[in-house]
Amino acid sequence: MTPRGKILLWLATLAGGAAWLGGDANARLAAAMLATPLVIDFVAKQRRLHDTAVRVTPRRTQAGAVFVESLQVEHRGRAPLRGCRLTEARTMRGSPSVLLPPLLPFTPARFEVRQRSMVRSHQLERVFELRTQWPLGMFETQAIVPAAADLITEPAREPVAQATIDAAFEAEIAPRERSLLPGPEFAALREHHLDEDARGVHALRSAALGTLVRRVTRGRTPRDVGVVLDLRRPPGRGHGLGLRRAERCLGACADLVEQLTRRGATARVLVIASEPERIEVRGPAQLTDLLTLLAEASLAAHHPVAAEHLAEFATMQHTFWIAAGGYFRAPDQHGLAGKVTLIGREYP
Amino acid sequence: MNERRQAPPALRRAALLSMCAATVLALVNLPDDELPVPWLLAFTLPGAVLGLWSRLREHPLRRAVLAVAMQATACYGALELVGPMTRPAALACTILPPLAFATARNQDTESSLALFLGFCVMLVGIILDGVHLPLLIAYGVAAMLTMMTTTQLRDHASSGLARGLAPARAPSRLRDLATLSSLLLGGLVAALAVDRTLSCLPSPSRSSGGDGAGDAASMSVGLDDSFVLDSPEGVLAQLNGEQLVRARHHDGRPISPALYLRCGFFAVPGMDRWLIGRLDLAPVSDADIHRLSDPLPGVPLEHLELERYAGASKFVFLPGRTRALEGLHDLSIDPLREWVRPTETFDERYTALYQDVEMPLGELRPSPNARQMELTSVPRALDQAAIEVLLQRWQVDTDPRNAMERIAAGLAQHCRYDRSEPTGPFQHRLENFLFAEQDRHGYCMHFASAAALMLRMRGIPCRVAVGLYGGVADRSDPTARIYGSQHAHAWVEVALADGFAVFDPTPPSLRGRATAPVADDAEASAPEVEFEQPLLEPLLRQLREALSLPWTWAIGLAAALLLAALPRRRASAPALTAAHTHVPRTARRLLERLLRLLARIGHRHQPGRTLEQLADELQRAGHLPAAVQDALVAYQEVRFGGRTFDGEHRARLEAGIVAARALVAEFAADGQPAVT
Repeated sequence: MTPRGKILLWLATLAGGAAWLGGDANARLAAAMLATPLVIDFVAKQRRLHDTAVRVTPRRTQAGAVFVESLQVEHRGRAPLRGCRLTEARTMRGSPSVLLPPLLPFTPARFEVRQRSMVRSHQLERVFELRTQWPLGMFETQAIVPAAADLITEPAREPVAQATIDAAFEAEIAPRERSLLPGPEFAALREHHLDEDARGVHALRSAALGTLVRRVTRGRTPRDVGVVLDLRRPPGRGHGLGLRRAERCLGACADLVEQLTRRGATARVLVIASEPERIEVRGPAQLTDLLTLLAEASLAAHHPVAAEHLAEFATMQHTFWIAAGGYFRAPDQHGLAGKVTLIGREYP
Repeated sequence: MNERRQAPPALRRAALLSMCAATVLALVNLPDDELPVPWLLAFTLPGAVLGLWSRLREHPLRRAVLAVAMQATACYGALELVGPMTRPAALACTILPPLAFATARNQDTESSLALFLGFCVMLVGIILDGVHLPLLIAYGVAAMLTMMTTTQLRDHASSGLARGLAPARAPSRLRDLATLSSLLLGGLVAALAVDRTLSCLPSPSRSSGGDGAGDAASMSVGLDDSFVLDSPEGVLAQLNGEQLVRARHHDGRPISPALYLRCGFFAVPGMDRWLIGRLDLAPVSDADIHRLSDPLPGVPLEHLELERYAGASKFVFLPGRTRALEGLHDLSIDPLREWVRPTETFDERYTALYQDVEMPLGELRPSPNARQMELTSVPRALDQAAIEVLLQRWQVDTDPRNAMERIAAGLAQHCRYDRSEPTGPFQHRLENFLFAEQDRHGYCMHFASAAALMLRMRGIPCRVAVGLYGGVADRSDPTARIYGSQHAHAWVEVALADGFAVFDPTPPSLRGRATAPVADDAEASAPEVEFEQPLLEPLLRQLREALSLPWTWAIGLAAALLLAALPRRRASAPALTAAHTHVPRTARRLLERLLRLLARIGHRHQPGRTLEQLADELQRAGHLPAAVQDALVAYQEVRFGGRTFDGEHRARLEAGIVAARALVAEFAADGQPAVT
């Protein structure tokens, strides 16, 4: 019952009590007039709100980024659904609910709603909330409507400084004729594959040749780069600490791998969580898998890592060690032969 | 994110209009005589001006000063124009300025405030001037519209924009209008049902009048047992229904139209309300015959059979000089005052034994028990000097017969019978009825109460009696008469030594005429013409009676609430319309033949399954020859593929039948299918 309904119920009860005690017709009339909206609202209020179906496509977004969601709403009750407000707690927190126009039974309607998921996560089900106070606002009907659709909220990108990446690749052997400018350098053109990042396509040459070609750079970006995302907490560190740094580290990991992929490098990523997981990112498909993994990642208690997991990285020339759990002095870093760049210490 | 949006202008206009309408209707309901228009304007205009003056919103001090100045000026002007107003109106006026302010300002939360204040003003109007049904209904409609529109406005205010990509269909305007009308109509019915339900609850104040038998000394009476002059309430208002009582003589003699059937009386006078007064109740009588008083010697006892209908079941109707009652049980009786009420309402028929005695010609002697029965007092607030002037002008003396005749004649000349409340400058209706300068009008209640007070001022003990008078002849039995609420009447009963004598000061042609004073008189005296009753009439009468019962409404209300609370059945999706492809009868017949053959080997085609599913089943069982499969495909091509049923398709179907027949034969020979 809404506050308006509660007040009216109190007034009607008082008037009804006075009419009952005193038998006064005016009091009876007042009670009847006050009770009428309650009766009408109770009888005519929207029922079977939960019979409304909300359909939504799988969505992949970044934490904090605004996106426009397309919803299909279909009411499966007997009467038209009126004055219904829709909201989704996860993506519409702090923003007003959305008022839907009247919906006829079994007639789907599509709407666009601006949403924003603030928390990195991977949800298998979207949960929408429908509320209506139609017709007189004395009672509010509410229903929770689930919709089976993935919502993957990737970590918000934490830009890794270009200098950090370049500095890590200082030792990379560069061709003799390369320029002195930092960063990768144009080497050749090759055919563009559909699963590759379109940003590498050479627009002019593609237009001239009539097929998509992309730039191949060479220089200080190595062919294979190791990335270790360490989600372990340091020994003795309690839960609940360093969560903000962990989120930033996850964002940095995503950004780093994206940059490396863009430069044409293959990132061999090891995620050390409760169960170590390894992904080799060569193109967008693997990058998507990695980002999904990052969306689901959570900090783990401290535990040693089996040597075979790091064996692959032991021989690599460049490895980025992202200490998302705050375990900066992991002894496992010393077992790596190549250059190790530690990321995460700079985040508070 | 989703921007808050403004409500559509049409909705905002509708909200504003409905709220203004509700406020105006509430103001119109205030009585003109209690609250003249200048006073009404004085208490509403300043508030409305302040509400509309948006520039003053940031300056509360200036607004307060201006409000005081405007209000004082307006009040002074109204005082100069029409003089002071009455106290109830002054109380009502305390609500008017905030109502006008909230209505004119019309901001988010103020619509609810304006609605509530308007409701209070409406209620004050009803208390001061009674119920004006059209106004009340109009106010109810406007108030419900206001609530609906404000709810929608609030939804708009608290919601963001959902951009519709493909809103398939919206409810039509006709459907919206039908929904709105049903809500409004439902509101009116619900209001009536709640009112009726409350009226049938056993109220402490009402029940004290009925079961006060144990309190022998005195009983307090509730409002139902009062005789209210300034509102349509009181015991007469309890008589609801076009048919309340049917009376007939035991010996078949016709009932006189001049028979008075009393169901209550009032002894304690008031300016606006008479009360029943003290009762000396005997223990609840459970006998078959209840004796009220001893019969007069030499006068025969008449047996009057009375049948009560639903609206009158809680009253006992007595003709004058009733000596005994038969057929009633569990009665509370005051034999001295001839007051009878049933504690239960089960008995519908009873017989009243009464003596039809004319008023004696000689000297009338007042009852010696008059003082005990409190039949001589007059209200303290009564302006006895003014009434004395009237009595002297009409030459009313202390002789009961003379007093009755003179008072009846004087009232008939001095006042006019009208079914409206007396109006005038005085505070009480009775004073307006007697002393208004121009149009002194009233109806039986005012005639009776004025006459009773005048008689008492001459020392003649009397009381006001209420009940039924006149009636109409029963169509099925012309000797009987039927009384309804339209025959409710009030008269005076003078306490004489041999009982109460009826004195009716209301002009004879207007007695017991609640609705049509003129047309009905001829009907009362003229013989009834027998005609055939329509078939539906008894049904409609029963329906009317059922609707007049408060319990009917209570049960209806409870049922509606229960039905609303019960979980409703899930709505079924509208059936998909199948493609109406014409399949020739031959093709259907061939298919049926094929299916029958397949059924013989245990593959019955179930309704709802497709031919493809049947083919899958046959395939799994190894009973699907290529010709049968081809036949099924051929039929589906015609059925859904838009192909015409030509010779080729016919041949394919027939080939399938041949193959199926062979399959059946092999199956019958060794129980094993030939096709794998």
